[in-house]
Amino acid sequence: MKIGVISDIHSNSVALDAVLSQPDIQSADTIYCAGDLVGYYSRPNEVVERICKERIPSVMGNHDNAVVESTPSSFSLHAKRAVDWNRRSLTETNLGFLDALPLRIREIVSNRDLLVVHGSPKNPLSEYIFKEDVDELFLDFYFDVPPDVIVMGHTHQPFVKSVRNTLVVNPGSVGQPRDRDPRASYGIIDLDSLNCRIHRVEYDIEKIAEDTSRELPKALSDRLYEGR
Amino acid sequence: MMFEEPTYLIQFGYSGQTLVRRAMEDDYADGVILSPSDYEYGDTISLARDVNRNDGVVLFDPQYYIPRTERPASNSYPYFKQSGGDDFETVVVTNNKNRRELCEQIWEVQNEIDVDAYIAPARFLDTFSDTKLTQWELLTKTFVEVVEDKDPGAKIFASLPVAGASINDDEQRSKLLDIVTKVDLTGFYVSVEYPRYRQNPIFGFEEVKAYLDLLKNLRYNWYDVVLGHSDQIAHLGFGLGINAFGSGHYKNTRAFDTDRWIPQDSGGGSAGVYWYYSEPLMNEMQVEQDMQALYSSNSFSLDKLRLKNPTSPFARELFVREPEDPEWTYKNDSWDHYIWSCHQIAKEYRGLTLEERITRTQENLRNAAEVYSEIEETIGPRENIQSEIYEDWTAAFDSTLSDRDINVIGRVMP
Repeated sequence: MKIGVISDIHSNSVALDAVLSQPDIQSADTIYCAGDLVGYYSRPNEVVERICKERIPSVMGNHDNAVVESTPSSFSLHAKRAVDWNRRSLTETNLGFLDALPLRIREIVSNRDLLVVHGSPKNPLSEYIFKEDVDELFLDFYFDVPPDVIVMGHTHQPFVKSVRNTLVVNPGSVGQPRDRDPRASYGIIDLDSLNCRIHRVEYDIEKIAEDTSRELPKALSDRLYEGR
Repeated sequence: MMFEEPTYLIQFGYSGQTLVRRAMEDDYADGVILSPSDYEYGDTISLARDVNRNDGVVLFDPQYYIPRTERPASNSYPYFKQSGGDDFETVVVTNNKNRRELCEQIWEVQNEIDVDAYIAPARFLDTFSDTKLTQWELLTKTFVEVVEDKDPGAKIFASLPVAGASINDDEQRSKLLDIVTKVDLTGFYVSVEYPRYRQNPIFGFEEVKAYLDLLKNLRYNWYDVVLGHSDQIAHLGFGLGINAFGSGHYKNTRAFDTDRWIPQDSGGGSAGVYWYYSEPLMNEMQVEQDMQALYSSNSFSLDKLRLKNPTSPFARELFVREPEDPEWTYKNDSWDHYIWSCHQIAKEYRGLTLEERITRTQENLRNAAEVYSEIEETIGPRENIQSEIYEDWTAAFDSTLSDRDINVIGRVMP
């Protein structure tokens, strides 16, 4: 059984549409999203509606939380502006959808114990977990019984790592990659062999950049071209 | 006309009140552009009184285009306290009632400071989308309405904070000009933001040309123009018949730089200045990399630099001894000298016709290129600053001014 994993879409529906049009993700049995559907870019309603339409189980990210709760002072200037604007632009229905997102998903899929969070297992909204943080200590610290698969987002940096019998995946960011590769990032996990492949897909950056710059700081658009 | 002759206004924060007072008392500045992030409200009022007592011009840039600042001084101003900091949302600008209230508060603050002309709050225009331009227009017009109600006949400057990348596009620049020149006011307080690597100083023929074209067209339309946070480029501005520039930081070579107000930015605009110029740097448009390289070279002669500016009252104090450290020895007087040097720029263009100003600008550009050549011969090509920069400035300046332009701008001059 194969599952698609996506994260950090950040209101970039152009990138999301490109990812969801890929044959390998279309043929996946199901798709999970590790949070941050909104923030930063200009199409929050389109993203939420596509996620609903495709019935993609999602967790809440820190930007989703900021939009439904309040804008944190710790956010950067541009992130704050974008969160404020996203909040004002979202329909009540879509805000309600974001508000109802769970902080974590843990379920059995094809006999595999799967955990999806945005940040870390103990701080699902805000903690950053990078590839180098993932080791046996990581598993021991966060779990009594580690799951078979852990999917996290938040860092916008994709990685795949196996520790003992656990596969740890960050699919990278759909809407705002930060690993100097501007292409949208997603992952396909093979639950049978417990492997994951990260895929990158080009999309029309100019389309979302222009759309965003009409309302939001241009710097948010500029960074998309550089993948940072 | 607000500014009848070339004028230098100090834009200086961070405990710089003493410097400002000294410059005004000793007559090497013509006034100030104050801002809410520099001093607390009470200090600003007090400083403004002192500047006024010395017959200086007082302007106050409300800096509402830099929202969400966490600088403590800003929160001492009523409008920032209520509509700034973390509570700020751009919706303030689009809601009629909120916008009017904001503008009234900003008017009250400027009235209390007793400014010589009001500066409107402004939407930061990093792109010229219809939405952003409409918000700029609404905010500016509302402020103008408030001033006309409260203080009929007062002089008003619109704030025009724009991104350099956006004005480079001819079509976009025209779109901007079409909108902003619809507003009836005294003039524009212009600040153009460039990426940091392009700021010290701005380079590139197209970039300089676009900037000058914007200024020229504002002048064409009989608007007074104040160049915010500028120094070296002021030469080109004066050559275009513009009569006022503000600066107070040696890195403000052409930009107002919103990024430096981000709280996490450790630079914060307050980094110490360790490099300085004893020759009139603005007159010859040198950049600090040149000076640092000169200092580092074996053939460096401190006297050579020092002797080139015998008229500065501060130059002798800048370099008391041959520095042994790999950086200039920092002297407090360097700030006084900087302010004095900026004032010299304004003074050298006073009493000149437009044609004479143009000639003076062109001479200064040639001098800058020659000095650069001398430096290049002595220490080799500079890594960060290309010699083309001077050619770019000259070419951009020359291409901006046709005979027709000179005739039109000549008529606008006081």
